[in-house]
Amino acid sequence: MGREGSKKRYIVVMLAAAAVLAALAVVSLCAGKYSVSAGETISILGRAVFHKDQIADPMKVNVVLGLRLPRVLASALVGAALSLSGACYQGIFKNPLVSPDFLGVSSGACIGAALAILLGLGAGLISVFAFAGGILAVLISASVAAAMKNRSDIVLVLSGIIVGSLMSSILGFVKFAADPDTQLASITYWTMGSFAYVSAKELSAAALVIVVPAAVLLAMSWWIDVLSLGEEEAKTLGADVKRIRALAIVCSTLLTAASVCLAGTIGWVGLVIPHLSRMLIGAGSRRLLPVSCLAGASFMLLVDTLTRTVGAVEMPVSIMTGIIGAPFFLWLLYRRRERML
Amino acid sequence: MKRKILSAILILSLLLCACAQGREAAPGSTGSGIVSSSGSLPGITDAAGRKITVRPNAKELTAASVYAVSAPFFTALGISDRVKAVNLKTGFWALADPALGAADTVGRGTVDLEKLAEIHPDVLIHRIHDEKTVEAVSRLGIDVICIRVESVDDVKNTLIMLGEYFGAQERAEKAIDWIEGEFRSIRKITDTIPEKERKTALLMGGRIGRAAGADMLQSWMIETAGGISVVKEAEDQSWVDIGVERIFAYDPDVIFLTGSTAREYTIEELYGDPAWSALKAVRNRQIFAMPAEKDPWDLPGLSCVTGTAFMLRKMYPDRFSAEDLEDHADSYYRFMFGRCFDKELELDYKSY
Repeated sequence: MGREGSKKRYIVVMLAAAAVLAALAVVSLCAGKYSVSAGETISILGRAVFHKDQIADPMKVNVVLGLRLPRVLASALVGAALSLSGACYQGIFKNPLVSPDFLGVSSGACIGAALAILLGLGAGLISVFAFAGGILAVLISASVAAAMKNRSDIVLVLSGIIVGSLMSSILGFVKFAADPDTQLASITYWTMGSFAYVSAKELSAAALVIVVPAAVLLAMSWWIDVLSLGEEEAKTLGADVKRIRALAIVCSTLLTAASVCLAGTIGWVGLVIPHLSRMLIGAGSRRLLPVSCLAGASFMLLVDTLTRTVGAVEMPVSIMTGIIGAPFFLWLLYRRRERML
Repeated sequence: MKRKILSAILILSLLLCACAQGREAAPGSTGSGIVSSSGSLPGITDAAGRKITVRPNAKELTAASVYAVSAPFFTALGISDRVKAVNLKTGFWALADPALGAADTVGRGTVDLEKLAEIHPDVLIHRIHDEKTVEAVSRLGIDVICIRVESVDDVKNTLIMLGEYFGAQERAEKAIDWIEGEFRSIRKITDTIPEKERKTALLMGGRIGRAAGADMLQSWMIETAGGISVVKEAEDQSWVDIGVERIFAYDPDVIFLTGSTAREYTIEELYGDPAWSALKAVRNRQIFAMPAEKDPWDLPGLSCVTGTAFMLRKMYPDRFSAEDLEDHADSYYRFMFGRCFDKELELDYKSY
């Protein structure tokens, strides 16, 4: 395919991804156990955006604006953030099996949240503890790698695995000490992910932490491509490898930590969606990252809509991402098996 | 690229504004932090310290809950027919209180918000320390009352608070009078027990080595039944994993086993375990499971009266007969449901 054809394909994929995202957002706003028609939903949204008095039933207004809109925005935002973060990590470390939480950020955030729940702290402080826990875990991983005085990527990956395992053990201890009737259920729910209780306030705070690093990563996508060529080649192209890599890791970590704060731990998205996007648009980060964002947002919207509409009781998000993500990843591996030999 | 990023940020900001607008527009919201300040309406303060307005149509208000502890309070206050959703701990409640048995569910532990919106109760009765649920339910314009039941005073306060909210003050007062009368008769007996004859005891939870914390209702019940709760260090309103070695060190005269949560072990396993054989409670066969054939007698709520009577019977059988226990149990079930269920469930208190 020529340069022109490739660009055309990128535009088509982006437009299709944006259309799917928009359609899923509308479906997600209309779907749920509480019945609100598409017309009523659009009317409620329109009146809210243009500050007009609502004419619909007050409960319908509360469901659409108070419950569904925050969770639709949150699921799209988190899906985009995790996919972007995963695509960046996979590019930087030249490793297709790296996921956004490989440096221990998710398990660190879970410990922070679990500790806050154990201490009986409020929702705001639980998010703050989760964010701090996630960042602390990554700092420990980075420090362990630095202490090894070995600049190989594999050392950082291994230290991430060690810290992640340590964090999982600590989380196990916190769960063991938790009250089984009250705290344990909250901790377990946190570790399995949910958008059910996301509020506009939490969403606004997380959006700030997600949008800025996401914009930085999208802007530096060319440098991520350069890093993926290998350290020596990147240096010959004038890249300050150490700084670019550090900035990309910081931004990706912020994206993951903010996502965990907002919705708890959600697996598979950051691993599977970049692979799917690569199949659609190729490995170049300048195109891969925006497509990953849109595909991740759509996937998460779909998953969240399914969790709250399928079955009598709402299912944690990670269960659904696992059910969809694992077979899908297997299929991807099967399709790429010859290239892996 | 910059233009695309800026456009995305702009769209996101607009939608976030709509979200914020939704929060402001939520009509009828009287939950956490958005209590009507009209001043003319009376209010209650729940266990989380939140103020909730008592509405003029209190006798018509409907409720929902996912917190199993709340079910006995609905029955005690005589408002079961106004309960739209409930989480029943045992099938007994459906038999004893058909109105509660017919109620829907909106989750077990966590609330399915959309289903809650669909059944649209006036209030959700919930546990404390779950701000996320309180905040989310308040966004639906549904009141939330947080309850905490870790002492008999908590039981009485919960009755007063819910009685006020649902316009069932008279029934709440009757329930409190009944509780106080029952405990007065129990104390008449326990006050006569000399200090040196008092038995040490603990209540073990669902896991071996897990005990009811010092500030839990179950530990209070042991003390009220004339015992000495050995779990004193753990100043915690929760189950505490004190460990088997600590239990061996305490060597209590009596060990009660919870009936309100699933147990991972049986009394026979404890009696048959050589490691436990040196314990006084094992040697003297003084390990007893709290009755749970009807409702669990160690579940925080009004059944703490019968639970305490059961502990008294087991620790001091010479001072409190099986007939005395039966009287207390009958009194409890008659007060709650207007009848006993011994024949239906083939219960024999003499075996207790």
